[in-house]
Amino acid sequence: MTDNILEVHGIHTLYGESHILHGVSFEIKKGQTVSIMGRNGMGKSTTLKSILGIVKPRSGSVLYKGQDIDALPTWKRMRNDIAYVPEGRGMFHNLTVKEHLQMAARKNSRGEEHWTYEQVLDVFPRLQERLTNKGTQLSGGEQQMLAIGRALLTNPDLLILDEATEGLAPLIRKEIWDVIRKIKATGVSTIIVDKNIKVLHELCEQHILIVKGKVQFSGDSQALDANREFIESSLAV
Amino acid sequence: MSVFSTKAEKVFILAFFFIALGVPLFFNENTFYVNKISTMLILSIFVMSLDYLVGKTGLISLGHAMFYGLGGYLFAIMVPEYEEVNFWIYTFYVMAASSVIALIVGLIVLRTSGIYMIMITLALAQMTFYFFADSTEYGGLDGLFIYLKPETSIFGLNFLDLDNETHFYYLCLLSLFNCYVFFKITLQSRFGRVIDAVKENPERATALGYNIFHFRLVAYVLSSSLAAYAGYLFSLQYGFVNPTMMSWEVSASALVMAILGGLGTVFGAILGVFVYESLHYGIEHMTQYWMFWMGSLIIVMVLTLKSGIAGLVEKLVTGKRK
Repeated sequence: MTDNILEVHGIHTLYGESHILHGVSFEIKKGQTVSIMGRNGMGKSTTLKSILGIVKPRSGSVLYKGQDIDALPTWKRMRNDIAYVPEGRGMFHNLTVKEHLQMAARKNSRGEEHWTYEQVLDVFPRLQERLTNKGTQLSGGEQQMLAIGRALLTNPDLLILDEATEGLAPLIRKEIWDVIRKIKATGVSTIIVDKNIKVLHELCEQHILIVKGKVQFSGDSQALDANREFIESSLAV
Repeated sequence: MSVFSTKAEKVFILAFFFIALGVPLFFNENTFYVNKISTMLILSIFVMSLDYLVGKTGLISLGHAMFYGLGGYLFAIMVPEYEEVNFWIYTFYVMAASSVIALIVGLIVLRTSGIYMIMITLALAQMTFYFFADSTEYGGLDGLFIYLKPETSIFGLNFLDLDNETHFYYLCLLSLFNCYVFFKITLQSRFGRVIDAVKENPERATALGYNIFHFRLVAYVLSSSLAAYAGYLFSLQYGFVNPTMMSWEVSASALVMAILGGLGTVFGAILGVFVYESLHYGIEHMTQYWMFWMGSLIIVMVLTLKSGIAGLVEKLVTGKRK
């Protein structure tokens, strides 16, 4: 068995005729927290969607826990203990907070249950107060917490957070980052797509920079420091 | 947890079943109305099963009457001629057979959705319609007669006589009640939450690790087999089954009743059927141009009542309590 929870090998993804990913490759070790950075429209979300099978890469392959998962439909990949918190959070307006959590909750594929309903409410006391509200009646920060809580209740081995702090007030952002630190401490492998280099530097063991559908930089936080100028210029609008 | 989603639903359901229990006592001289209301109760089961599919699962079928008709045909075909069979055993047979058919049909139609699903369900229902209409073996357009109504004994106890209008009425009422409770329980389980999520955003539900096809298939089979049960009751009430039961007009008017009652409310199906059928009956006896008035009224109701008659009940109940 390999040490890598995820290996992405040279994926090319196209939306119709437009070529978005030009051979993206990287590896993520078990238990690692990895950042994916890049300006808007550079292919970060497309990379995630290709990993999950929401869009199908034209070529290349994705290995998860050493297994080639290219042939699996999205829902089966998720059943193998991947959790995805999408950009825009994806609330269901006809479900309450409690119902959101109930419908998501399940043991992982090995029958383990690291996260329970109560534990999630402990981590997000704000959700406790909002149990009977509909998903879309929540503030942006609360929606984000619910989206993360919902993902945790599937007891994942790999957690994927797409722009989890996007469009939130600084105080709420801090709260979200604190939770991500707590999640990290439990040893879950995590992919974080974000633009906040400072926090990512502290939180992640590995960093990946995607520019125009290609990996332009990949390395640990030390390497990040050494290339800081280049990376910051690549992120600046 | 209560089976009721809202206060209005609770008030309506309790009032409806309370009044319905007394209906045969009120009309004890006049079996015409008891029969009429029995039919409405049967239709309510049918429309409720359609609402479960359309309003809750978000799958629009214009061929739901196929199962309504099949319910009757399955019984008429399976039952040995001139033999008194047991109602409960044949209820099981009819529902099991229609579930198998629904499973096969579901495997085909659920590969599509939206407008394509409307087309394919319509096409399948029309195929079935013409199959029975053209078959000499199954009586063509005249259909099949059910000569003997089943007996209803359980372990030798016989307390229901299906030839007795009042008894049959209570059987329909009990069936509607069971059907309502069954649908509500499934909707409030985890299955129901996932169904809600699938309707709202199928991609998101997939990303949470749910195979939406499986969930849609289960909902489709549940809904179809209860539609078949309603058709089975209908054919027992009138003693025959014919292809018009599965014509597309039946599917379409059921859809109108579901929308009128309040799509996705479940209890709205009962409101839709009773309002539609009462108006139909009333206007039909007032003027020969009843279709014109009926159509106009439906247009007005759909335009003014945004969430159907169930929405109106909701407003009345919550309004009074303020």
